[in-house]
Amino acid sequence: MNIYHRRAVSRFVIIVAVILILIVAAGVAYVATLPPSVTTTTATSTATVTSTATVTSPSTTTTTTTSSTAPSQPVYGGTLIADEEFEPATVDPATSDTVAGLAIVDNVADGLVGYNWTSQTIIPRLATSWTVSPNGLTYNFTLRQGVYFVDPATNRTIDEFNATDVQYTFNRVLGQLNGYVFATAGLNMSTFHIYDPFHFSVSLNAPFAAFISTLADPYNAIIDKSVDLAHGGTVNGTVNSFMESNLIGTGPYMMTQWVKGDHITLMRNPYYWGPKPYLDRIVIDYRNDASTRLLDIKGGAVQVASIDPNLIPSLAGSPNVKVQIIGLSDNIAPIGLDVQLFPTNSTLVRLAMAHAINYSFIDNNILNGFGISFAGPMPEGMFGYNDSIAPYQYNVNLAEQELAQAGYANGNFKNGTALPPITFVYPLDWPSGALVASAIQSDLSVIGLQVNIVGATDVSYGDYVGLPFNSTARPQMLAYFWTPDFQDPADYATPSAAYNWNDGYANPQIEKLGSEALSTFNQTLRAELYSQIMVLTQQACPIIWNYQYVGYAVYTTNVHGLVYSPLLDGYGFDWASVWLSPS
Amino acid sequence: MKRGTLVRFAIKRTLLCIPVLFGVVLLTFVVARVVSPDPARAWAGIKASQSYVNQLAAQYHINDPLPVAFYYYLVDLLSGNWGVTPDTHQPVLSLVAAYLPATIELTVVAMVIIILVGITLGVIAAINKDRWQDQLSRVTALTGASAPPFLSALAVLFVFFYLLHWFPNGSRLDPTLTPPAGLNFAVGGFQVHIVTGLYILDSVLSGNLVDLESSISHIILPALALAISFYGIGVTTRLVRSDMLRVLGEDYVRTAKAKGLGRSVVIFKHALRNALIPATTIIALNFATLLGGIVVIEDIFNWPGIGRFTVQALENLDYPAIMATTLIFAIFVVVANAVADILYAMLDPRVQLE
Repeated sequence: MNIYHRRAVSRFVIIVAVILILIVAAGVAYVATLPPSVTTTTATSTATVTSTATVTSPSTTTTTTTSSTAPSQPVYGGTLIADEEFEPATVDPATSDTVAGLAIVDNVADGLVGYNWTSQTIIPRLATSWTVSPNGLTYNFTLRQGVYFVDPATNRTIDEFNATDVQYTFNRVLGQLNGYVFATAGLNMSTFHIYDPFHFSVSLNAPFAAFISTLADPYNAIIDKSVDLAHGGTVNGTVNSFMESNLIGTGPYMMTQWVKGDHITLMRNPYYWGPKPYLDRIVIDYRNDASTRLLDIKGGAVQVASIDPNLIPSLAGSPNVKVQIIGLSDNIAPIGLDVQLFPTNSTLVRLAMAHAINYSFIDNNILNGFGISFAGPMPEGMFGYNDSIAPYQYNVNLAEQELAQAGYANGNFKNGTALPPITFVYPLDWPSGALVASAIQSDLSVIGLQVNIVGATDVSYGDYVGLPFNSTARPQMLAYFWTPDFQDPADYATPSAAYNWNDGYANPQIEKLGSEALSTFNQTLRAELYSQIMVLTQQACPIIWNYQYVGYAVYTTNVHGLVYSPLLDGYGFDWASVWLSPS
Repeated sequence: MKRGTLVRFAIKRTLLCIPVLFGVVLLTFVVARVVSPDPARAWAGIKASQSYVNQLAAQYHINDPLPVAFYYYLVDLLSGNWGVTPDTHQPVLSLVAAYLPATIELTVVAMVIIILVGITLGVIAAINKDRWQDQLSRVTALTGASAPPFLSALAVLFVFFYLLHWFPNGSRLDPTLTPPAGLNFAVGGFQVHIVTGLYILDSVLSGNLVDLESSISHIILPALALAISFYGIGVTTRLVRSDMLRVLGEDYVRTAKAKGLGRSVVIFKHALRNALIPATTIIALNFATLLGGIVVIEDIFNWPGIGRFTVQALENLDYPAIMATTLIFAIFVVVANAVADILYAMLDPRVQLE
């Protein structure tokens, strides 16, 4: 017997307490999902780039509007903390094939040229000027002097940048994972000639109009030859473990700390050759969980956060958080249709699928306006995109007719049996991917096509991509998203381009047009050739272009100068122009 | 129980861990080989060149007959060569060593919370049986035990970080601070540097109060979330309550009360000490069970521990890392069970050891 036993409390009290707890929990959940009244600013711009070595591209307009009143003068100092979803596996430019890693590279290491995303032009960086031979094969570069590689551990300069670093970097990257960009450009390193430490020339195997654009790609950022050699060098096909985790460059920031699984810290480079960056320090936290990133920015723990489009409405009620629509991204989310597998080996079936999808529902209801339809292969706004060619339109009647013409009315064979299910694989890290895939599955079922959805991890997705196009283990529909390696339609335009169409489609006519467009510097001719490619691709429909992302950034109102980089597409920013107003 | 008997038991029990761990290593080795159609490719990573795959296959004897490959795997394991990650070619053991202290620190703090809060709530519930204190304790315990780790983590984050701004949102330290330096001292002309990787301890050793304050404030929320979920506070509360109720009904407790001893003396000196004997062993087992929640908690709170490393390894099919983390978790469980058995033998004189 418990000698301290006393009379029991009424069960009614307990029930009331539980109900009260449930009511409080429901109230908290309701507050957290209030309808949006998010402060949104809009900037409209087109992602067209002009090269200083070629004719200016077709004219574009760029307007920027903002609803906030920024201080008149940027302020130096402060620490900015940003939440990103994906942590880099490596920060070695030659092997980093994820935007997360390149976002670090872009701020710590320089290429020979860069992009000014505000003016949409290629600008000099480590190269101050360059010329192209009349036949378009040989490039002569003049390099910037007085630029130093800085060791973040000691905060001291190591070497002065010169042409041998360029030669070493180019050779190095050609032998590594990301060498395909230079390989596509036809870079011929046997022709690399150093005249003096600040002048060199190199030739291509064939004219490649986008070569200068490839030099702005973070893959091709210049590294310090002596640092790589001091840590074992880099042998073709293998990686240098020091370089994978340490990045020493000439950029506006130094990578001073990488706590694996946690964050990367960038500190202002005191020896930077360019305009002094405003921020003292940037800390990039890597938070996998979308809800956590949302809480972080709403709670004021971070100033910039990567927020999925379907979670934007959850920012309601946070007046200190701004969602800025920056402009059209060059990031696209197409779905490759395997033209060597049944039933997507039929052009009519592919067209039927393309016309059966309700793109505006995806763009407006799932992506909350952060996606638009486009007619590929290059994204809208990029040089070469022809606005007069319409994207695939949602038209169920037309889709049904096309399916019937293919002999599969209502998704059945002529004998009435249903077509076998189509497999649709999408990468699990595709933002809002599960929702988009479900919507497409539902749309295709309306015309009688049964679709099985499979979400794939990074590795298993790679397994699918590696399968032969005629393998029955390969899915008929393969979704992916593509961020450009370099800012030119050549990266998108042909099935054999660096951007793999993932559909087994080959068209010699398109390849010929693409090759012709690459070998001329006449921008008007190039635009016409890319137009023809668009028409042919639309007719053949090897890809459902699905949507192109609208670039946006989510940040607190004390952040200014954020410049959206289509190459980094919201997974990172050029931090050099960013500053914090005093809170 | 004789002290010598206990020591022999402890040694025997510790040695029994070895065949268990051997079994775990064997099982993970076989499964890893059987599951993958190309173990050498899996070990090297999907992006590796064929020459690198061949190099690794030769180095780690991956394509040798299973018994031979297992022999070399054991030799490598015992010599510290746990393989390299396919992506970054970092030695897996060094990565484990880098991530492990964070998990140990988080688990220890969570255990402290479980012990303090669980025992307190259990005692309160027992001495106020069937009153509102008892009911509230039991409801709280049941809610916590029912809540999956991700829910408790998000709830804790939402309330204490977002609404109340009492604690930071995750990570181990304020991002503007550098990890504590640990202890530096000279012995006979040699410089000794001790860094445990446990930020709280290292802060104390280095006398860095700023880091100490930051590391404590950062660990509270994830530790609380871990303590609340699964078999943490909830189970401990119920266990202590039931054992206390049993003990409070014993004759010797009634005798103590009849002798005129104060209430607190009766409860804490006579009743609680005996009630905690079975609870202590369960708490030791909890240490291993908490690992089940570690993965989710570390992911949500951005805690750079073994749990996060495991998730990344699974996502990337990083075979060397997957096998390493499996072994680490197995070691935790085996050691926790052994400690629980030894503790039980130490605390309860009624236990007969062979």
